[in-house]
Amino acid sequence: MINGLRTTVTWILLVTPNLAFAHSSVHGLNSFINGLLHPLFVPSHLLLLIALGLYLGQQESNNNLNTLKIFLTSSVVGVAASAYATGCEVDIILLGETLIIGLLVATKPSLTQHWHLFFGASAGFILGLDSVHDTVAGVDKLISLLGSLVGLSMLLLQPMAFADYFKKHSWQKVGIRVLGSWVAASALLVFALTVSTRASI
Amino acid sequence: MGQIHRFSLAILLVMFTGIVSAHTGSGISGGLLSGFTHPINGWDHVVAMVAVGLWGAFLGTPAIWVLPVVFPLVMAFGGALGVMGIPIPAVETGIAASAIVLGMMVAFAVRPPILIAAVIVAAFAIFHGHAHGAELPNAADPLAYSVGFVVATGLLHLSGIAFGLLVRWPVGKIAVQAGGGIIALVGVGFLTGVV
Repeated sequence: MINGLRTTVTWILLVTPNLAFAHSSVHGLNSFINGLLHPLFVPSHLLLLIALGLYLGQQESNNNLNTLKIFLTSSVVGVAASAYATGCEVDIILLGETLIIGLLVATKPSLTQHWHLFFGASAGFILGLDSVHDTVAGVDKLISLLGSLVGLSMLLLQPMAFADYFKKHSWQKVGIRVLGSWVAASALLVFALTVSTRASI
Repeated sequence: MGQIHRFSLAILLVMFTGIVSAHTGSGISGGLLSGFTHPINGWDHVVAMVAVGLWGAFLGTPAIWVLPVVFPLVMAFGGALGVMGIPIPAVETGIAASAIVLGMMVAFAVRPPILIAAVIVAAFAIFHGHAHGAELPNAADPLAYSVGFVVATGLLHLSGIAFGLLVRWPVGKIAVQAGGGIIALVGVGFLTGVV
């Protein structure tokens, strides 16, 4: 009888860990960390940051500081604007901008500094606008937004540094362009899906 | 005792339903995984993707990178057509034909100008994209699914390029051309329904 129970319990303990895959890694974390990780867990944000980072990394390093400043400033403006733009659907704009920047990474045209500033500003604004957590309020919301701003900046710097480092040899530049084409292709598909879904409603 | 065994069995059967649901996946990881495995699970896609890489490597610079850049972009365009419900006739035939044509290009060492090569690859990419795009609305996370299958497609190109780089050696060139021939034959198999 006891052996039977032991067998049952053992089997249950062995089998139940498969349920753990559904865990939400942000549960139990504080608001700042939740905000910090937010762009990492929203694929459309991450894809735009990768596209913009690769794009900026392809440019001359000296010109990127101004773009980064503009990006951060417009992120803050976007976050502030979100207080007045509740329920604003920006996913189509996010995907559209990702598509455009991804194509620019793949084709690598010679664009002036004004374009870098424009893409940095618009991406920062949209990402900031879409970074507000609905589940938190008050001070927690502010801390979470601060985390998101830090997260956005850090995640932009990763692909930017990657593309900047890997431009010494021609095959490295080609690799970055291939990555850009992958980003653009992914964005184009979901852009089409989103547009067609909206059109059918 | 017998009751406990029956109870154990019942508990086990209930628990295993969790494993079954893990097959389709959910959320970002499920979408990414299902997208990544979609091109790999279809041999018609696999041989054609490898053929693109092989042909690119065979043609050399700039085709070695132009073709793998053009393919996913045009494939996404084909996918967009599929998502929006715009029909393309004979998609499966087009996919099988892509393996035949691209395989033969490698097998017979055909070296067209880069523009012609890009147009040929792009034309077939639409068929592949349309097939992938039709699955997109059902994906757990459409964007993660798209990233998964685009990356898988790119890695298949890369494997073709890696094999194709053997053309630097005389024996390698024979091996690459033989690989192209095998891909074309497999394509014929898909077209006729033998494979």
